[in-house]
Amino acid sequence: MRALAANLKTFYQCPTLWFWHVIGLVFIIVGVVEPLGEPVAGQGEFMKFVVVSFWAGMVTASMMKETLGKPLTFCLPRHQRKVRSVIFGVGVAQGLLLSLIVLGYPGLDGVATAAGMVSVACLAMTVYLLSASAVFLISNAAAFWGVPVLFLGLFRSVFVGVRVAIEDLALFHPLENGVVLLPLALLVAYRLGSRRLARTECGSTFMPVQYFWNRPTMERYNRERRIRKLNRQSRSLWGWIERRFLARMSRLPAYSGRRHTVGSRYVLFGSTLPLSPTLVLLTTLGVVALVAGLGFVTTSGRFEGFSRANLLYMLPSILGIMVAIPLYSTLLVPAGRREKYKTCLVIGVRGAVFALLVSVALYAVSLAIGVLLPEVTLSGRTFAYLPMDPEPILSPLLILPLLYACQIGFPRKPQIPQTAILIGAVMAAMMAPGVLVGGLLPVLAVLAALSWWCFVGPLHHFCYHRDLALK
Amino acid sequence: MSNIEPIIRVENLSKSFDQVQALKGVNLTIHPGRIVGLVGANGGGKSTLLRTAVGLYLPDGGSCTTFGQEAGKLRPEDLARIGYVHQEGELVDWMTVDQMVRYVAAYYPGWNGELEERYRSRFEVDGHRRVGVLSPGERQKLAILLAIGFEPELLILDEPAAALDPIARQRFLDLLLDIIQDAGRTILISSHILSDIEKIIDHVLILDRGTILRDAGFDELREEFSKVRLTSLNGPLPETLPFEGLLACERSGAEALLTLRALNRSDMETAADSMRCTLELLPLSFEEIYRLIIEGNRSEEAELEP
Repeated sequence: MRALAANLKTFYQCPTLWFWHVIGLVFIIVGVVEPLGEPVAGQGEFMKFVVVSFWAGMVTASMMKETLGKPLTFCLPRHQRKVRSVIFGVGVAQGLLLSLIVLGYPGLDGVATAAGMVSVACLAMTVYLLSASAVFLISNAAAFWGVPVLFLGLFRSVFVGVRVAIEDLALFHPLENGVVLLPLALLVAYRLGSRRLARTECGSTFMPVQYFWNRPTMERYNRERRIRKLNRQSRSLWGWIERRFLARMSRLPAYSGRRHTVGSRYVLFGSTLPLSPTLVLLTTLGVVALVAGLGFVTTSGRFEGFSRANLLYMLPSILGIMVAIPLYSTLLVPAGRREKYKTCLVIGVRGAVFALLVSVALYAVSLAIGVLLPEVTLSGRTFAYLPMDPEPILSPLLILPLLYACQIGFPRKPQIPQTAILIGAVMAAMMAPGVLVGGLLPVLAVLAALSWWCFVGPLHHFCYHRDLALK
Repeated sequence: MSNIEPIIRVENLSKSFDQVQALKGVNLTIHPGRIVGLVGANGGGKSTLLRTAVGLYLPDGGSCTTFGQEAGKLRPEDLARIGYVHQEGELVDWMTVDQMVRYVAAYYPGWNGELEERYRSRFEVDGHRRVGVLSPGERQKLAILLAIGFEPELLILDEPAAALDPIARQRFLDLLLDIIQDAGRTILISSHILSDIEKIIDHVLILDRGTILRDAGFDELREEFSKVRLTSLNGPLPETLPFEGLLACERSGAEALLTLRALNRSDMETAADSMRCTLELLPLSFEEIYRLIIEGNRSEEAELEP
């Protein structure tokens, strides 16, 4: 088998990769078909193809990085350079295909259309190469950052002036796009073909985007990454944390459910506590920036006038995914099924309380920023900052129990239903932003009660009537 | 023995996973103080049986009681009497070995620090390494330490020596022998390395495709099968050998190696004398006995099939 053919097998061999192909199809539909469906010039609809390029770069580079990571790849003749061929081959193909979008742009003559096609092809290739480079440069960029960026890119109403500006750049600046692309392409081509890159990537710990759903790979990757970080941590700090938990355990009655709960919290604490203060700071700053940015964007249509920053109430629930309900374990400690049930319940409730506190903090930040931010004028339009609404603060109480229930009902692959629930919640919040805000708190309370029943009911059933270890 | 309350009692136990029946109507009792070897082929249901005994799995049918309590409803006090080493050794990966030991010790008021120290020095367990980066053998050593540190009455070991190197395996067996010295301690050990466990067990359970094929004392089992060398003093051996219960025969000129079931030594010596042959009794290893039982059962099943 030729090296190229071997490389191409990675595009279809992994079953979970088909999920990403479906996601890609959605982006293609949104990015290409939608603007062509109702072609309106100057509205920023024609810039959406960059999302397709971003996705293509991310997935292709992830697969190639995985190929390079295989222990024997370095020894195979000409194999290292095939990575460059595949990445550039796919890049050129997607650039040329996306350039056809210009044919749907209204009011362009022959020369302008040709120039527009060159311009789009160059910009698509630039975005593609930047996305592909990020996969190689940033640790697991694709798996962890790619998807959120993709979804951000899909927001129709966000970044109003920016959307129009990108469309203008994409279609009417072939020279500028070409000038940017040329050195970038040379640099990327040089880097992708170098033996140094092949040597660095060979045998490296990498979680390709297609394995995001693969629990054993994900766990192995997270374990290795966390252990590397833990080894750099202050021993005295961790000694203090350990002493605190163990002292608490020893104070509680032996073999009691409370001792088991504290022990389980200690295990969970050690596996979820953020280990990089820089990352925590950067994430916090990023969230504050998002609160500020989205505060200037308001909804339109039926639910008009709500702050888009309300979408950020999803973040605490996303954080809550990290709370692992300790139901399935073969580490035998003196805790019966009743104690395990209580422990799972306590951990679930504490996770929800934590998420609620994060929600409250987000709201407080949003209010505080509102005092500082002035009105902004962009492209002749004035935008006023609108703080987040207080009612959706309670949304983690609605979403988190469902995410917990996924861990119990689908212990091998909880990520799939969890992601579906989160996507559904984001879509609902985008399409009907006023539902939670418009005086429907009683409805929210009923839904939250149902949601908790969805968690507690199966938890009780599984704890008392099902196996507590996975086959 | 039968008047003593068994530690584990399994009656008509069945358990399935999807379409695969892992256990089919298993019956057994394990009395205190016994060292029981649970052996069988891969996928034979050994781990399922052990997990059911500690309450991690619930039976589909039948019952399993441990310490007189339904295994699925074991209370923390009962579980504190059971040490369990799982085949894959689930541990907390982010902890160091020291942290892991202290964490598990915090559950047991009777944790034996002296035993822990003795074990650690014998097995050279590095306390500063993270559990997540330990080799399978090192993880296994740690899992064993965690299971014995509180001196459980019942020690359940699911393939405990599979990942250990030969030296560590020998040390582990010595340790088990030390533990066995304590009267009243019950050990249920499943292993593929039959040559190891035959040194310590006094009772055998052979599990094959979800069914118990043999539940017998180890000495009883050894007596059931024999291997003898028959040497003719007068030319080649006759075509047919007049021995009952002949399971296998390997001929080589005037010599034959015979494997027999239920050997009656005096009858056999008489038969050998009549053929002018000498008879030499050879040791039969546990592995050979195990193979005879499994293969015998398979051929019986094949004969029964239409």
